[in-house]
Amino acid sequence: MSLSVKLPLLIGIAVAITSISAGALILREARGTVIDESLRTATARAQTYAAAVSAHLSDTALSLEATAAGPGVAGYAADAAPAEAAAQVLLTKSDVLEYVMVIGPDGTIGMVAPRDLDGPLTTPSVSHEAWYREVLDRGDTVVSNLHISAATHRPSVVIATPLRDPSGAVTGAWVGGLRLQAFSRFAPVVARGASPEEGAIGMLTDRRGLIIAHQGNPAFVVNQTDFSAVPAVRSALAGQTDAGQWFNPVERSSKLGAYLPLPGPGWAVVVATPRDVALAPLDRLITASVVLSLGVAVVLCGIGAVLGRRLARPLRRLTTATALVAAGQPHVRAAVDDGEVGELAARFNEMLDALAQNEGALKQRADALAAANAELDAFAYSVSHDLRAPLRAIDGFGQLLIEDQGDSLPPEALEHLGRMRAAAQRMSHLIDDLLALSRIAKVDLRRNTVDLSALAETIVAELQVGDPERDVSVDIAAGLTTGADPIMAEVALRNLLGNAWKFTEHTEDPHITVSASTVPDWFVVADDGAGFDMALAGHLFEPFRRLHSTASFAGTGIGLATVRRVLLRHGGQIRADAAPGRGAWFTFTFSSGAEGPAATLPHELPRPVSEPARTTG
Amino acid sequence: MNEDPVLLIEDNPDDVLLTKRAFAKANLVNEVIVAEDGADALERLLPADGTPGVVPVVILLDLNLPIIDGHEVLRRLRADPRTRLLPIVVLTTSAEERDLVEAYEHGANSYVRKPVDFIEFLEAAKTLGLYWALLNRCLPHP
Repeated sequence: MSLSVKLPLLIGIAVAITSISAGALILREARGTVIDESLRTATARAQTYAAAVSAHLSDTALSLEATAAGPGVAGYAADAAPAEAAAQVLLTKSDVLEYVMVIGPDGTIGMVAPRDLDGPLTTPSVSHEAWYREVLDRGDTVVSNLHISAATHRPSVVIATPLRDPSGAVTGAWVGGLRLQAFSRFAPVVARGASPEEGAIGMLTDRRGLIIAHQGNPAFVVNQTDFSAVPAVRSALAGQTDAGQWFNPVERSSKLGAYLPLPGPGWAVVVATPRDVALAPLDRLITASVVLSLGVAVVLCGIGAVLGRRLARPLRRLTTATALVAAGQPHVRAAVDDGEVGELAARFNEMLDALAQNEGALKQRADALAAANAELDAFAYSVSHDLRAPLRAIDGFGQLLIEDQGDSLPPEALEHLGRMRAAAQRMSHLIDDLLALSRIAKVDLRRNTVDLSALAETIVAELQVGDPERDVSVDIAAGLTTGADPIMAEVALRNLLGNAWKFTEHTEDPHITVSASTVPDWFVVADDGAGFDMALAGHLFEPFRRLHSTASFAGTGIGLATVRRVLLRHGGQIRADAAPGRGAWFTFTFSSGAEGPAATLPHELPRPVSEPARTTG
Repeated sequence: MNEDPVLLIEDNPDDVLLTKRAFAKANLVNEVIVAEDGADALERLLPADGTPGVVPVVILLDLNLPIIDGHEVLRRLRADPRTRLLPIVVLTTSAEERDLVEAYEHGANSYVRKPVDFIEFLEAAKTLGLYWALLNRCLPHP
């Protein structure tokens, strides 16, 4: 993904995570606050509502009681006029009284005012009403439950106070019918929104839980709806005052509000708001914060995109330049801008310049090396051909001289001719050895598993064939294997064994051993021949360096140089330990990085072991 | 015994002399024709005028020749139907592996390195002569 996409994405994700977690925290707090505030308000309103209802009830009760004790009401049977006048006064004064009745001792309705109520009485007697019997029983003012009024044919609540004769006996009741719609108005709540359902509403129920007043829906009153199943109503009727959340099964909605019992009549007063309405501010807060977060995230993403594009532009240019260079256009340079990327581009260009310079120098050197190698190759080839041909002529004509004129030549001349031929042949060997040495450096190295034991056996057998008079005790350890180029390994081993064979020439009862060293992958070729002075060991592996005179030992002095070159090409090493007259001890490995065994001091050189001897010849 | 000549392609007069001497010493009676360079050899074997060339019992070919070198001579002889099947022995000083490989790739029948030691050289020449002039059976002349 490119920087111009990554940056805005990163910013967007960061902003989203931050605002979501901050929002969640804030909302958690706000939610508590909103609910607390809502409950507090509901509690205050419920108390205000209850106080208003109480005040009107007690005012009405007091007015009824006062007029009941006055003249004329009790004597309504004889003369209805005073009672009607009193009723008229009450109705005029009170805004909650709908009608006034006088009830006789047997429960018959004696008088109803005003007369123009809705139709005739449904029943002539209220003797069956609980409130009437209560008035008779208690002899005190009673507030009724909800019931169907005989006078209005509608659900009604009445306040009834006893009428007494001069002896004090209860002779009937002076009853005020309440205008229930009025109680909805006392609720100190203004419904919000189009429907009252959406705001906080107050309600009243009677002691059984039937609705007396419902600010939101007057139909509940008309239908005498039972709210006793509503938890708030039930709790208030049980005498509890509290605030909280509940589910209203009648209205089928969750509510948040307060409730309390109305002292006196024992009604329930409830002020409640639909929960979702109460939490509406919270919802607005959520919506607002989400919109704000998204807006900020989008804006920052946009800024990030612009920034990313601007940041990525020089990087892209640099990338293009590197791609072109990598694709084989070394002369391309990156555009250099300000800032860190610009500096990087400048350094990149410098690096390319330096590389170009180096490459030029390297190419020159490689060309020179290739030319030198080609020359060397041609030289070696020419040596092999052109240097040998004259030697053959020298040797050949020398021999012809011996054959043709041998009889007439003095013995001294014959000896000189012999020396001449020997020299020519030695030079031929020298050329062969030199070519072998140069070939080691040239050929490809193909590493394989080499059985050094078997190889040594073969070489020793050949040496014996070439030199049948020699009797050398050769001990070759079994199972010596290593990873090496088989042809080169043979060259190395042939030279080492050839040397051992040669330098034991003047030794009595000579021994040669081929064995494994104490260190894995290191091998030893040892002899008890002429040896050499360790002071000269440093020159041992140099080409043409001979530590013995040609008179005592033949050789070109190239063998050990070839051995060392073979081992070096494998990454291996070789070391020589020797003592004059005691023998030489060559320790070597074909493995790179191998730590060799400790140097063997000349006086510690053991005589190569040959017991049990594998004697050749 | 095949009476056809032996063709020696060799530019070094010393080697020519020594080779002839070696053949004589080996009692080889075949005539030894000498071509001193590659061009000379090709002219003798494949004359430009279309006349039939020399048909030797064996060609002894040196590799290090002036003008046209031994490898090229070998290649041209093998490319021509008249000499395609002639026995050719590379007789050279070189012991280089690449010469060996190239010679066999171009169809040499044998590859012999000339030893410096004249006694060994005599031995080699004798063996060669006996083998190619006496033992080996060539195709009949066309």
